[in-house]
Amino acid sequence: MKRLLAVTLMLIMVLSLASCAVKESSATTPTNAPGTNETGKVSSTLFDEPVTITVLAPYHDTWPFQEDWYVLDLIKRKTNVTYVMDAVASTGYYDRYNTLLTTHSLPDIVWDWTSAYANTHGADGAFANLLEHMDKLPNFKKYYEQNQSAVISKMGADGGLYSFPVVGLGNTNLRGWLYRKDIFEKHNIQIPKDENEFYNVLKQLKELYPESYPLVFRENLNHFKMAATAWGTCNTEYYDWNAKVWKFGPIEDNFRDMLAYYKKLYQEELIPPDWNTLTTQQWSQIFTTHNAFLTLDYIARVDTWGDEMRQADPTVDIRYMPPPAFGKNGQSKLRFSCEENTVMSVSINSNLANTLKFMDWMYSDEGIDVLSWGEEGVTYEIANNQRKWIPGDDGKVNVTTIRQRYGLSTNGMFARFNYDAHISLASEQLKEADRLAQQYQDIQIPTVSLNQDEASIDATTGAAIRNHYRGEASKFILGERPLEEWDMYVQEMKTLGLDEYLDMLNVAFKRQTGGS
Amino acid sequence: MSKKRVSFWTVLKVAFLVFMVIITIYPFIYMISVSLSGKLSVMRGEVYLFPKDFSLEAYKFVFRDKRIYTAYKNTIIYVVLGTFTSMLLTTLGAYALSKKNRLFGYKFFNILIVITMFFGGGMIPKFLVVNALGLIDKIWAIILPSSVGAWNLFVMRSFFLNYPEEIEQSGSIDGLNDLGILFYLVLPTSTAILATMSLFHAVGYWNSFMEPYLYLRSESKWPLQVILRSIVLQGTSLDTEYAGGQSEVYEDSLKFATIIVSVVPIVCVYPFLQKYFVKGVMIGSIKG
Amino acid sequence: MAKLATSVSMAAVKKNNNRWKKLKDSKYLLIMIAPAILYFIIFHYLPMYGVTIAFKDYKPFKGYFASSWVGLKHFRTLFKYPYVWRMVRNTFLLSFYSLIWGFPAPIIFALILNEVKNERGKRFVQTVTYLPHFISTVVIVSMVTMFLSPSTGILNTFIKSLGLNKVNFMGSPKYWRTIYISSGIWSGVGWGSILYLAALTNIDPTLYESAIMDGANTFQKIIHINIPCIAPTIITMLILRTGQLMSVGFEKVYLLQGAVNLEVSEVIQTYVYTNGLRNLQYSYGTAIGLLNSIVNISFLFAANYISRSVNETSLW
Repeated sequence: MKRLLAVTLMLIMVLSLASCAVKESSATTPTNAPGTNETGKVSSTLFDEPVTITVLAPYHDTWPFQEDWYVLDLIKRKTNVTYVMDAVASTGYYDRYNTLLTTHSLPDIVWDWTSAYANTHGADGAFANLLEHMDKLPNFKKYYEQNQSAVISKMGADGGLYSFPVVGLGNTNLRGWLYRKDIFEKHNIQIPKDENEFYNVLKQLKELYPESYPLVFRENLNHFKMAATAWGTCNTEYYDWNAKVWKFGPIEDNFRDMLAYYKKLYQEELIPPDWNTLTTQQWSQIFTTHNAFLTLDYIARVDTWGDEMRQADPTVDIRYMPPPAFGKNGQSKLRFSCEENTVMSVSINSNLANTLKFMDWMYSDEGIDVLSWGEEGVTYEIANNQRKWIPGDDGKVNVTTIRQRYGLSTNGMFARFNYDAHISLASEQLKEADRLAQQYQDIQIPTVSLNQDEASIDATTGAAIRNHYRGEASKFILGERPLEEWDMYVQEMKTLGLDEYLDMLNVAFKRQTGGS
Repeated sequence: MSKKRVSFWTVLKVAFLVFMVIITIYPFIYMISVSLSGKLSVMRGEVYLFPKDFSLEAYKFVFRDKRIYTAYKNTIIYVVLGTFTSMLLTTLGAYALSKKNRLFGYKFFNILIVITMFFGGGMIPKFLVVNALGLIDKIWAIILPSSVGAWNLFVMRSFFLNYPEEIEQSGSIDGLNDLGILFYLVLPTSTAILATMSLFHAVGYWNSFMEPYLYLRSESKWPLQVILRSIVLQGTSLDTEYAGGQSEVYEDSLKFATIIVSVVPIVCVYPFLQKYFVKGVMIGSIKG
Repeated sequence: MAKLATSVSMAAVKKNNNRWKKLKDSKYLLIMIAPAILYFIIFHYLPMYGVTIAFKDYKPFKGYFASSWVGLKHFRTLFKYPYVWRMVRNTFLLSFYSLIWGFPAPIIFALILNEVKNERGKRFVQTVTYLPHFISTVVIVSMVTMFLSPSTGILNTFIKSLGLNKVNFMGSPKYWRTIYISSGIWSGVGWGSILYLAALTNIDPTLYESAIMDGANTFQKIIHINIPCIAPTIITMLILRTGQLMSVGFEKVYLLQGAVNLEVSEVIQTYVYTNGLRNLQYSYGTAIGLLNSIVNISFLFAANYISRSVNETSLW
């Protein structure tokens, strides 16, 4: 049975293109349908008797947790749950987590940035395996069945699912090529489609603005995390959905071509000479002082940079650029970036049944709607059949003020979010970028959960491979090592144990996905 | 001739000290200027020495969090109480440890203390001890677990080792025991080291983050660092949080304002302590 | 035979008497040291059983005692890491160079500052130079990268104004150690000198008076009076510092690390952080830490032994 499930699961994954938020249908019509309890009597809350549920979550410094937040009152009225939050600073969160874990005093719900802790400690008995409770989770089951490619990355090394994926805000992690549309139009430059056109565009910009570095990016080699996909490769190990095996990108020919290309950009000063040491601050300085016209980063920069730069020059227009396909095996795609890593786990304790029921409510139509939008007349109003956030006393409303005022969409206050609530506040440019970025992203590379022995292979062989790649890739671009030595480099990787490492990943992934 | 050489050394000395002052004060001036400048100027890297587009936004943000005021008060309480406790324990211990020939079990105690500099059970066993002592969410949980410290003990001991024995002997002739000698004779003539060690302890308590974070439950007892630290670390990989597009990546101005707010009070302590760095105190005592 | 036995027992009694006398003599000293020792026992020795997880597969939820023993497995894993020796070498060299350059810096600074006669100027310099200690490592590192940047950095602007070629300091492993160490001196020299300035106040002024009568110049006074007088402090600090030879400040190395300088910048502490903890390998991290401590404490014992043989100051 489990095997069958896994087979179908894999099938669905291969066929389905991963898309971020499955658009909720309830964008315009509020679904405040009252829940029905077992006796058929209509009740207005999820629980008849008052219930207390505790939760551990880090707060964000821009919207620190407030005990009188509207969202807590909202939860109380809708579900009869008193939601008690232990909100702590994000720095040192895991130390707090670990002390509570060792003393077996974790609260009912534990929020986390990734599923790694939940998987490790869940297997030891700290958290409920949701696969064993699916009958009690009708709403979550619906999500689970529609999004198995996303859920698989949350599974533990033993194939258990120890956490609820927190989804819907992944769009804010979308990344893509951003370009200065105003500059392109001014000089009648067309959006490039392949590596040659891309190179010519950079050349042309360099001639027009000799002091500039037309392309700028930050975090040095991490740039390839997104960019390598367009070259038909990857900057780390990746799962080949067709061949159904794990491969390592940085030894592939496509990857070599990419490094050769960036070497050329470096030598012709089309990227800054210190591209490999630029800090975020320096990078943003270069772009905002009109010394670069292309970058690859979070799409939110369209607004954050755009707004700042328009204060001095109203013509500035930063837009999302559809990714050019680079090289022989190129594709007009970028790495999946709608990352939704955060999870909420449920402790095994006497409150388990209530907590599961409550978590399932967060996945219900009502839960999704009220925890994303709040309530009509309180947080939003409807005009022309469109929901609109009600501005505060200062006339301002944005995703930050919504969080500060109501506590909506803060850590631990939702499990499945309707992104319409946020994107409705964005500029037209950002809405466009959001749409395009989703369209041009590749299938998600799954996360493999390792057991103890595999983890030690990762910490030795894996670490050596990652290190060697990082050191050598820089040298290839800087010209300190000739690209003629590429085959030698590939051989060095094999000597370090690349094949055993990939074998280990294949075995681990098979076990995680049920052995098929 | 000789006069000329002296002035040459003086010039060199002054030049060196001026150079030191410039390179150490610049980061602070830079931080203050950035924290007082407008967002766009900072983003464009236009701030070098003086604020540009003067703005108090960053400070407004830091003080927007009302918990800051309570946290200030808490930090000061912890620093004062902690420094006092630490000084008491460290001074007594260091003085005893400096009596190489008289202290029973001298070598044993020293090695016992040295080992703690290298081997520790880690955070969780320590937490369990603090928990078992019933200290969780109590002020003492921040003070006791970090009250002594092997390093401070050895450093202070090295001062007592250098203390002229004649003074101590004069004390024992007068019938004072070790405690009496320490408090009536040694300490009044060791103000410089007392000031130094107090500073070290005070700064330690001021910056302490882990203890309050782990051992305090109630927000009303949090010190400043628990609230401000993540703002400074945000955006670096040392922070666990992803600096996604969703979370506002803090501008340098905000980070710097946070640092200024959290260090200015403790930085001001040192100039007041410097008056205890007086030469010749001890000599007066010998001659007297 | 009996005679021998008697003399042995006599000696034993005498020794016992001596010990008893010493114990009685140090009654007050023992009372004084008792609170500190109690502190170390409660807050350091009681939790020390935590070290055992280096030999176990530690699972936090199961706890320290229920996790299974695995012997030296984690230590063996470390040596399966192909770059282990490079990493050990990096750690040692970085720390060693920091010691050579960084250790004397605050002493020299304190000695020079001590010669300043103007009390107000002296206090001003003291206060200003200790400021960088309060700037968090994150900010120190970002400032260093900013100053050294080839495009916007102050240093390169200066180099260019001299008509020389710009240098991408951070973009090459060549300069990395120098940058780490010199920025360490910059941010730590003022703070480090406080202790020595305090030590210098304890010097008996009559020593200077006689030195001046002997016609000594400033240099000679420093060499023959100042340095010997603060020697116990210097030596204590040096011994303690030697016990950290296999440790480097993790935070700063990590923040200054990049793909280009990995060959010199990967140290034990950053390896544990980026790989040991990656898959929640608590036991592995502890095992490496333990090994590290053993090496460190051996250095300290050696330093203490040498110091005790050549002069009077030692930790025990």
